[in-house]
Amino acid sequence: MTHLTRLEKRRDGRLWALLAERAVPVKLRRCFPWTFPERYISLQTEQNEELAFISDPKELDAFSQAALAQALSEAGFVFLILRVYSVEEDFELRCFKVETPQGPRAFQTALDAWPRETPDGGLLIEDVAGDVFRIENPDELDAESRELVWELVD
Amino acid sequence: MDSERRFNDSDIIERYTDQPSRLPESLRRAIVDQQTTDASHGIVAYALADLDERLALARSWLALSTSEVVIAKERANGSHELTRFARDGLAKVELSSGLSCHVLRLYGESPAVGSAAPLCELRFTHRQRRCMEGIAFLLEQVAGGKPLETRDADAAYLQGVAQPIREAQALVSTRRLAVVWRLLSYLKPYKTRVIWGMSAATLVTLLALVPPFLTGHLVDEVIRPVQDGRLRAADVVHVAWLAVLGIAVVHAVSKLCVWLRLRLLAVLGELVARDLRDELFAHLQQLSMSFYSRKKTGSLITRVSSDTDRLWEFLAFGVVEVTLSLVSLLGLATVLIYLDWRLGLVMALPVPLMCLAIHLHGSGMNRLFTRAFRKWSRLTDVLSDTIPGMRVVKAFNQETRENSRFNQRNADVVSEFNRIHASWTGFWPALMLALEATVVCVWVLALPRLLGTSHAFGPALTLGKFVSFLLYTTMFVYPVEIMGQVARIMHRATSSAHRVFEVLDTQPEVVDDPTPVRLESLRGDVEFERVTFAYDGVRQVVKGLSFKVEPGELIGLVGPSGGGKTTLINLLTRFYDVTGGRILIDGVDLRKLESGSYREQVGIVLQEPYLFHGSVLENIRYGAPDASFDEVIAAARVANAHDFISRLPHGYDTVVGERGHTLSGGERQRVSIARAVLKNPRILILDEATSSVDTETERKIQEAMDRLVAGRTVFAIAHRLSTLRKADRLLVIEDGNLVEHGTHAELLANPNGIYTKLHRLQQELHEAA
Repeated sequence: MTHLTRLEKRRDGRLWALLAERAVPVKLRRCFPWTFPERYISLQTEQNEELAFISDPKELDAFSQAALAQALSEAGFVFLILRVYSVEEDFELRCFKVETPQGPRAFQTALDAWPRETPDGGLLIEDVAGDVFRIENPDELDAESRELVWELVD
Repeated sequence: MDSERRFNDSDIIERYTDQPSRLPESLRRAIVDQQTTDASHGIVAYALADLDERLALARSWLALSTSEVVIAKERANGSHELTRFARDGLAKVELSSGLSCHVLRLYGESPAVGSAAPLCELRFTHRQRRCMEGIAFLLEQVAGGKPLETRDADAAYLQGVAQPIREAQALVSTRRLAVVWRLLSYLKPYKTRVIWGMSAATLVTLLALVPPFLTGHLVDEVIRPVQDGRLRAADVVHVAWLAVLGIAVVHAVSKLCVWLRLRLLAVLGELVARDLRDELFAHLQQLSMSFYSRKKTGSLITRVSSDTDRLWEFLAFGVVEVTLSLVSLLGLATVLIYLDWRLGLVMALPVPLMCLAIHLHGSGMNRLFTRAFRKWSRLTDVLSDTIPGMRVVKAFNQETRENSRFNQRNADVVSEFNRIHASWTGFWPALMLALEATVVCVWVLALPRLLGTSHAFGPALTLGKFVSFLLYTTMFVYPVEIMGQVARIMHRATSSAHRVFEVLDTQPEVVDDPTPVRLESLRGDVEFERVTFAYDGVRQVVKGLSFKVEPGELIGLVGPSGGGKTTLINLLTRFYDVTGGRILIDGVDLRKLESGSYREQVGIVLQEPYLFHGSVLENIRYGAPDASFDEVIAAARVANAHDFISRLPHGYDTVVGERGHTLSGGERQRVSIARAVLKNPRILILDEATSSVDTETERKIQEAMDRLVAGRTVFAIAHRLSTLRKADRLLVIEDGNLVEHGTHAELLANPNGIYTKLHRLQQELHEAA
């Protein structure tokens, strides 16, 4: 594994890993996006080969940490569900209308595509297109939203 | 399907997403008008970027015209801020993917050291990914100096956004009733049976109204007058017995009609289900391979089996029960109101409320069932994990853990089903209580009139009329229950019908020419002329490939995985049609050939040989059902299969089980070679036929194949290059292109060639082993 000296976001919009002898644009993959998102990050080349591995971002300097956090917010972006407006079945689809920090969003899942529980008690719902929606804590939803997702939550 | 309006991709986008179903017209005009020339500057492709740089929902359009790339960012007031640059100025396209956010960056110069700012940077969700990937592909082609293919930009956008939704559901229809009508049209061939069956069923319902009426009449006109001494028993006894006989006849006729109804309509359901299954299976045989690559096998099997079975249930019982319940309720209400309108209304008015209560309870139950099915699915996950993986479970000594996982989920399932039981066991007694409460109300209102103590609720009531009334009230329960379930019955049937009709309405993508050419005996001359192909219509996996093969040549196809070798085979067998160029067979365009007669002369041996459930004999004879026993044995000998088959206790009559699982991989492969030998094809395709067997088996298969290839045009794909030494020519396919060709020796003569590298790698591996 190549030794990583620094991470920086450059003018081309990409995250670059500065290694001992060269700089390489990298992509990020959280190894445990739901069980341990804060640590264990794989830095990969455009060809999806691992170039460096960060077991704990705190080991990086402050500048690199900031660049990493910014890149992670994009690579790990999922829609957070703040409120559920409706859940209806329509021609073999389960149609959700929800409020997210990004704004209201409608999405659909197959009827047998159940939400996935995460170790922290959250729920992940993947829609038919592949977008991921997350309910951080179903118990903290408002009563109406809880009632709407009742059959999908333990 | 004429009576039914289906959603098109545009409807799907409007119904299910919150984005426009096409590029706004004003924006389209703005993009095209501002260009230097107009006629040749249409929009080739466009996509929506639905996230901004802060990852908030936004709308920015990326449009690609024949000369420019245009980015239109929507402002708060709905207008657009346009940024445009020449397509020729594009040096690099970069697409990076995250969990739900992807980024497309376009560069005017290669960003080798990260100093070049992108011309544009667009963020978008998975929903837009297909369209964006399509544009990225086109832009890469442009950046690579290749000409841009013309395409229907609107259709590509619609398909890209709507496809995941369309694939997740069955046929989409705006009107559920239209589906039911279409379903009922399948009854047409059995009109007589339907008329007799429904008449019998209606008669049963109406006859059921007679005994209570006769009973009341008997009480009022015979029993009470005799008991009161107003009539002599001897004078009316014959009337009494006549009424009893009438009741007996009604019951007898009614039961005869019940028998007739069940007999006719149950069989009718079976007949319609058979017709649907036949039509469905026949249609499945016509559909292209692309359909099978889109649909899951389990889902298609369900459509032919469970869904048609559910439709049988609907046609045989659902339609009848619902119709009769309606007739029954109307008949009961009419009779009750006729007998005594005050008491009749007391009984009839709560019925719609009860139906509503059942309907609402049904909705609640649906939610409970959803929970239960979710838990059930988690339980079956454990089963489908552990049973096929039992060797791993045991090897890792995880039986206790798996037991505990199963027990926990099993308990969850029971808990959910207990909740369901608690709900219906509470609801139905309550509903019955409500029904009985109306009966009590009837008593409360009728008693003063029966006793003559008050006439506040109407005139005096005779005992016979009241007895009739009470008997009718008991008949309310069943139709009320059925009417409350109409929505559920309809929902179940239309869901199944959607799934069945979706398949029936799918058109095969590979179809024969209206006047096809039939080549009775192929020579085996094959030519690829600038063939291009893309599974998704956008990303080409075969890129302008040309080569010619003489009859009787053995051609080896080699190259890295994913390079396009198997796609070439799929095109040669016409599982898919080329998207550009053409394939000539004996000088005739493959698309002009009659596919049936062509495929009869093409044989294929796959890496994973597929045997059907049946005997070895049936499997060998699959392509030539009339082959004699001598021919079968001869074919098995050529395939080095006869020895092991004749050692089996049941010889050629041995049933190989589902997918041939009772045979080893090498044995299955040799049976499949025998099958190909017996078919005696002019063109033979060997797709990694020896890759998954041991060395000794490989030797036997190789011997069999050496005999098999003689005198035919053969295309052989193999990773083990040593197996292709006898090939007349080798074609090295990489990234959809023919990068090298020649004999084994000729290719090895190029020290930097791809084939040489592959060969060297395999030798090193072999030596290391």
